[in-house]
This record gives sequence, C-alpha cells and structure tokens, in this order.
Amino acid sequence: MGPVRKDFRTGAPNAPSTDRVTDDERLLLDRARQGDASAFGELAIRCRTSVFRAALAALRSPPDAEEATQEAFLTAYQQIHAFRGESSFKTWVTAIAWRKALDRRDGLLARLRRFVSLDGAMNEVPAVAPNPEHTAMEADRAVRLQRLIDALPAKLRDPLLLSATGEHTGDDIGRLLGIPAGTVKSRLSLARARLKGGLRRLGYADE
Amino acid sequence: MSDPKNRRTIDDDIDLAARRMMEVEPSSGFDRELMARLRNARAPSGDTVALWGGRAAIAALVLLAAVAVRFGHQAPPTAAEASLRSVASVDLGDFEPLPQLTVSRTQVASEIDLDGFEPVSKMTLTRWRGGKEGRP
Repeated sequence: MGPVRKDFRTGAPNAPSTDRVTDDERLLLDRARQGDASAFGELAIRCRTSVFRAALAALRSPPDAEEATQEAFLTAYQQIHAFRGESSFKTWVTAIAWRKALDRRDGLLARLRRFVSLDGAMNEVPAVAPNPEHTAMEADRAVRLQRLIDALPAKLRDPLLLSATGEHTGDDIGRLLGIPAGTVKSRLSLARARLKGGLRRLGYADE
Repeated sequence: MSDPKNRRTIDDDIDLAARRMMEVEPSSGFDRELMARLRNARAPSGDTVALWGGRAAIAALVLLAAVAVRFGHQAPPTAAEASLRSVASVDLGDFEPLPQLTVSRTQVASEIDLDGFEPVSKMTLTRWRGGKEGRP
C-alpha cells in the first residue's frame, strides 16, 4: 500500500493520521529490542521510502540520501531502547534521518562540492519521466521549475519538498524543521511566490 | 484553443514538479545493504553497559598511569641511589696508615694498620645535587 497522500498546499492529511505505534509494530519493536535484526529490518523496510524521501528533500542527491537513510536506520537500531513509542516508528526514524541529512548538507565536503560546482545540485535532479501526454514545452517547463526549486534557499525548499512527498502534515514538517506549523505555511507560500516570479522571468505565463 | 478543463495553473505545475522531484525510490540494493549492516551492527542489548564499563576501566588505567608519571619522580630515592649519591664525612685526624704492600703473581694487596683509629659518632649524609664538585 502506498503512502497516504496529503493535500500538498495545506499539508492537511487526506486520511486520519495514524501517527502512533500499531500493535504489529510493537511486536516487532519488542523483538528488535532483544537484538533481532530481522525484526528491525522488517520495520525499516516498511517505511524506508518515506524516510529516504525526507533525506532526499534535504540533500537532493539520491546516493547521499540513501547513505543518510542507512545511517539513520543503524542509529535507530542501536538506540531502539530510547524509543518510547510517543510517535510512530516512521516519524521517529524520519527525525533521525533528517538530522543525519542536515549534518551531511552542512558538512565541509558538501559545502566544498557546492562551491566547486554550482550546477552540481541541478545535475542531480532526477530526470522528468517521459510521458507521452506531455508536450516538449511542458517537459521543458517542468525541468526549469525543478531547477528553480533547487535554487530556492533551504528554508523555503525544505518545507516545499517535504510537503511534496505527501508523507507529512504541516505539524510534522514543523517538528522536523523546528518551526511552528504556521511558519511552515508562510514559507510554502513564499516559496510558491518565488517560483512563480522565476517562471515569469523565464517567459512562462499562467495559462 | 486548449480545452479549459485541461488548463493548468502555475500552482499545478509547481505541485507536479515538486512531486516528481520526490518520486524517487531507494536503489534496488538498498534493502540488502541495510540488512547486512544491521546484522553486522552491535545489537541493542545490555552490550551498552559492558561497552561503557570497558571504556571506564581503560580511562581509570590511563588516569592511574598519569598520576604515577606525575608524582613518581618526586618519590624519595631508593636505597641504592642513596648509597651512590651520598658522601660520608669521617674525621680521620688521628689516623696514621702503615702500608705494607704484598705483591704476588695474581694479586696486589695492601695491609693497613688501623690501630688508633677512632670513628667519630657523628656522620653527615648529604644528597648529591649534581655537578662535578662533591660527586662521590
């Protein structure tokens, strides 16, 4: 079953939030606490895509995001006794992955890479999937939009991309970013306004 | 003319572009690598206590060694060191040696008549503090 898709613009979930530990999760957690790596692995595989996408929102590079996600799961496994079940396992690991991703993003090597190749992040943008319904112009517009999104400052890009995963509510994003949910909304609006301005400068008008 | 039903706004395009940027899956080897790492990882059991116990023991040993190095050289000299570096002052004022030298093929021996020698009861031991002067 795919992730519950939430309203991208408001961040409100389309389905009731189930951000708590389920009975099934609890059983696996108990086994994991006793050192059962397979049980932990099962928990991890259930939410790996969601955790990976949060890391991807911060890092914009799939290989880096994968590494941050792997590290997050390892840390979670070794600190499983610290997990008190106040949120779902996925929320807990996502928070760990987010911190790992930020550490990587703020690391000296990453800064150096951005400095040496300003186009680096753009080159790492996943290609727009070919779709026969899209005209060449639409594809070009989508690519330019992705580049504009990458060029946004992190404080605007992070909430935008986390929202785009459809995995997190405004409150979730606020907790991850350490800001109130209201600030998340205002940053989303500002990000949108900047992107529209950028598109207009490139000659694209609202149809 | 485009059908108004199919018209998209910039907002729609922004949503679509951002969503597509996030529609990336972990690579196919992700699960295998994760499971391998988990199996090789330290299990989350009481090992933590043992690990920190071991670290504490090592830290205590290092501390003890540091204390020994710091204060060890200020300890009083050993008996051997004291005998080597001490000078005994003896009053030999009334002593008259009468050397009688005996020479043989394998040894040279001298006999000294110590009659009349009275050792003084007072002896001064002085710790040698370096330099050639006064060295025993």
